[in-house]
Amino acid sequence: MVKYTIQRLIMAVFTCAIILTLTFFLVKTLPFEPTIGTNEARLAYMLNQVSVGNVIWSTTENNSLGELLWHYTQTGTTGVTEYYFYLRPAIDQYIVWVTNILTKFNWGTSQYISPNVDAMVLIVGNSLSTSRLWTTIKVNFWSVIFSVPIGIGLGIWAALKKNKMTDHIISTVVMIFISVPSFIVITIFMWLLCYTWGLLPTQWPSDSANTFTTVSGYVLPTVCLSFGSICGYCRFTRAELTEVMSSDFLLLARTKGLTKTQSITRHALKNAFVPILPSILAEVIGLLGGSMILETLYGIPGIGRLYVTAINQKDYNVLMADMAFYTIIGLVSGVFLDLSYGFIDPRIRMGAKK
Amino acid sequence: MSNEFTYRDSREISHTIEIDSKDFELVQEHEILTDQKMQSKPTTFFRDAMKRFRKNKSSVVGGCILGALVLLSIVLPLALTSDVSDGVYANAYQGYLAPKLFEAGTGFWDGCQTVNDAILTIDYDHYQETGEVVGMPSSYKESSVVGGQDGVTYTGFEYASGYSASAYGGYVRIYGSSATRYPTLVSQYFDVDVDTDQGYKFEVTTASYQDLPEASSWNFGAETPYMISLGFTLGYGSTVTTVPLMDDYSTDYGTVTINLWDHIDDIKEAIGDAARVTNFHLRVSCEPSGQTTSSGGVVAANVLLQSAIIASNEEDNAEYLAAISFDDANTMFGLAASDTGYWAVDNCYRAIYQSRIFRGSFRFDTYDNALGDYTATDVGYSNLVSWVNRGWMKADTDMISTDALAGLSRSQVREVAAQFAETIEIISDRCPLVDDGNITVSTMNSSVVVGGTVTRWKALFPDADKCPSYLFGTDANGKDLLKYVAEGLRTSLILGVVTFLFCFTFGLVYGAIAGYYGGWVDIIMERITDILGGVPWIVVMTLAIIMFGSNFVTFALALCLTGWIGTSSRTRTQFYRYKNREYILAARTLGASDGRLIFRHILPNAIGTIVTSSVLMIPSVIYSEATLAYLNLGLQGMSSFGVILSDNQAYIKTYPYMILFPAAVMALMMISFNLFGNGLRDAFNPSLKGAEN
Repeated sequence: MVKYTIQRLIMAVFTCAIILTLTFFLVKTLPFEPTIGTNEARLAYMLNQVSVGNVIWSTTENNSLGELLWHYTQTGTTGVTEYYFYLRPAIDQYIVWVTNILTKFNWGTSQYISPNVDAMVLIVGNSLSTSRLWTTIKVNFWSVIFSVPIGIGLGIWAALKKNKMTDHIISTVVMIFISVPSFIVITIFMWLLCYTWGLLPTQWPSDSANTFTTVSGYVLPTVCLSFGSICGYCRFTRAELTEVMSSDFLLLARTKGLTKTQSITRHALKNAFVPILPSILAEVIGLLGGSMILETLYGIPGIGRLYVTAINQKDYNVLMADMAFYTIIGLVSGVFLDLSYGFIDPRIRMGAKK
Repeated sequence: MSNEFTYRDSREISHTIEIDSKDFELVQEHEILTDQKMQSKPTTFFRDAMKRFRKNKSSVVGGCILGALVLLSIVLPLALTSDVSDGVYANAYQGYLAPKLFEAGTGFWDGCQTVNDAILTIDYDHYQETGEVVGMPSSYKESSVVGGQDGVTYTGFEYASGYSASAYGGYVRIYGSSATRYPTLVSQYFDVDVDTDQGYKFEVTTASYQDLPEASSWNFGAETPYMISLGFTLGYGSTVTTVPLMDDYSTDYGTVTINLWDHIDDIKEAIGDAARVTNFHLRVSCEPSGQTTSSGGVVAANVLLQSAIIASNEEDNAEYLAAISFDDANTMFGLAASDTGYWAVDNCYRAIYQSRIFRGSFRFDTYDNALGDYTATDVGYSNLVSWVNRGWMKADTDMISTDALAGLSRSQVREVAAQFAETIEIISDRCPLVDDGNITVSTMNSSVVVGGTVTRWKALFPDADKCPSYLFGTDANGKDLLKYVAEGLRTSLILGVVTFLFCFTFGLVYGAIAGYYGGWVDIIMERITDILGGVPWIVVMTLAIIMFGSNFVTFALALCLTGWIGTSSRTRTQFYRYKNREYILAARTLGASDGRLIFRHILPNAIGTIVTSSVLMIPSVIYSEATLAYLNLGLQGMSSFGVILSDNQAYIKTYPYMILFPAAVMALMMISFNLFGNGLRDAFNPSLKGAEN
């Protein structure tokens, strides 16, 4: 088990490194985006890029250094300073980037979203109130709290009433909500709850809003995020439980004299939960990713919206940091999913030889 | 030989059975039996699967809906022509038309839009007398309001801040420009007979600013008493002499009525021996408080004047006097200095307070409002010519062409206009120019123009025989939403199918190689798919779109980059399943090549399962495209579901139909796709049934 865990972790780190390397070079093939704004801000950004090693600063024109990005003549109290900034080759930048991450955990600075601020700070924040990650977690937390019991409950109900009216109704509703894209669900809920009935705020409330508005601001994201999860859990639970219910050992349990309730709670559910629990755990980690669309549509200042803003404003350092974040979340939840099988049901030995 | 048997049953009743000797002969005694051909046709795997699929009713329904949608996406963009020509966006009138299926006024899907709290034009006199608000919306055509006057529900009023053309009542506030001079509001001059009592009355209504609810925030300065005086000049250009009408500076705010005859002696005395003066004006002023603010500015003296009415017993004077008095402060405030009834300011500034704007809710027919009748002063020469050419009306348009009018004097042009008016005759009901007796022919800058009531849709759509109606309404640019959605459906489907075809082919070959050869080939190929599959698809899409722009080809390619992984892993599993079967071994023993084994023996067995499991890739591609459009990375210059939805997201509050209809169609398509796909998969793969749906 330990060996397998270590193997999986090393594999995940390796995959992550390859993915990030690929994305790094892909991003570097995009044209270099110089900061807009005042010359001072640009100069500060460029000097910062020099200090992190992406750009070379020369006081004289020297085209052998690479592609000229910006020429600026600063007239200050100490006299005239010439700035010629040259872009370093991508491979050099890559080495610098990796070194900075490994030694200083420095993911580069933002260019446009909030110039010259560390990209990781934009995601994690300096305090809880400014943390985009924390906002995303807060929003997603409630959807897990609601969707896990409701989804599993409905799934069990549907499985127990298999091929009866209850099952058909639940299965149909689940099928509809799984098919309809999340943004349509969000849009329809926004139209109904926020605009037509006016029950909820139409945008994510600001920090200064009163308690009632703040609380009601959570309702729409929770409802929208829950719907998808509820349907997912319900379908999964129903499928697993139906399969277990038709197995031989459950028949044996009934023949040796257990009541239906006893056989279901002691045997069927326990076995059905073996694949369900890991998927819940994986989703709890997946929460950190949040929903880009919901955050964009409802104006929630989380990391999903940061990603969209970074794309639209071509803030590549923030984009890279955010991408890395998403990649790591995806890989970690995958590893977690695989490992948790072994913890929940010791009979399952992942990676064991035949 | 007797063939009859008799027996008694349990009730002692006798029965007789007769048996024929033929019954004991062997049927096939002398026949030669050979193997017979099967009477029923042998079923194939595919036919069997189709039989299973047909049993699943919901999947069949899903498939039918899907087929209908595909058909509509091809037919509708070609069939709908009441949209403007392709590529050219519609004129301004066609935007925001509501969805219409039934006649206007039926209350549901009838092309009407509900407007809440729109500004009303009310009969203010009627309101003051009865307190009842009767009015029509001010910026909508009256004829398009459903139910007319009764269709408008009064929802309340609000105080306008400052002057508003749609507001009523309120107070004119005058406030001093100097700490010592008397701020005064001065009426226009009017004539008074000073010899006989004609019952001249001045009725002035004032208010204390403290009576107004919002007063505390207005910083009016000190409360000041007011006075009313009558001013006159002794001959043109000489100084104004005033006679106070209200002796004490009143602080008793409200309505004051002053009879002029009571003061006529004072006036005569003031005039003295000078020429008789009959030109007077009414002056309302207030006493300056004399206070200055800490910064040395003026603490304004104030008076709030609601109305000032000058009246007389003589009926001949009534209209004249009514014109120069005012009972609606807001209306008076809106007049220009040159207008009759304007009250000038003296030593002061003026402002308007607490005028009221009345609001009401109603439904209006968007089609009639935008495309119905309107009054045109000039319908345009080229329009006239085309209407004449279409035979809708008769007019000698050659008479008023630019060439014909060139060099004519103004009077000659007027003459031509008069002659031309004689030739106009409306023949057809279809003619945009309505024959309601209001057709005018006038001259403008040496050209002759025709005006009148014009039906807009008849002019905009010359080939239509009735006012166009849009089932899904139109969007902000005037595009027929039904057509737009059908085009979007087509784009999305094409994108889905193209991506599916590529991913399927590539994934099939890749998976086949990995699955067939196995060993280290499989290990390496699996690691490649692991890594590619590990890159979040949104990252791949983002990079591709930033690099190559968001056009159709980029989109399809970027989606293909990771899209084939699912198919390849399915193919690989199937190959592992079949490659060790006995018939493959047999074929290999007979010397079949790898290619033959893969394509002739394994693939035909595996393909059904692989295709049906991969069909669901199409809706997922459509979903991915729409998601990207929501993140502002959608297809540019093309309509797709995502583009339509994200473009119309801004109108969710004001025009929800713009987003609800496309959303409904997309939801319908996704649901039927999933029903169809799941049914197909279950049919081909009975063992999987219920596992994933």
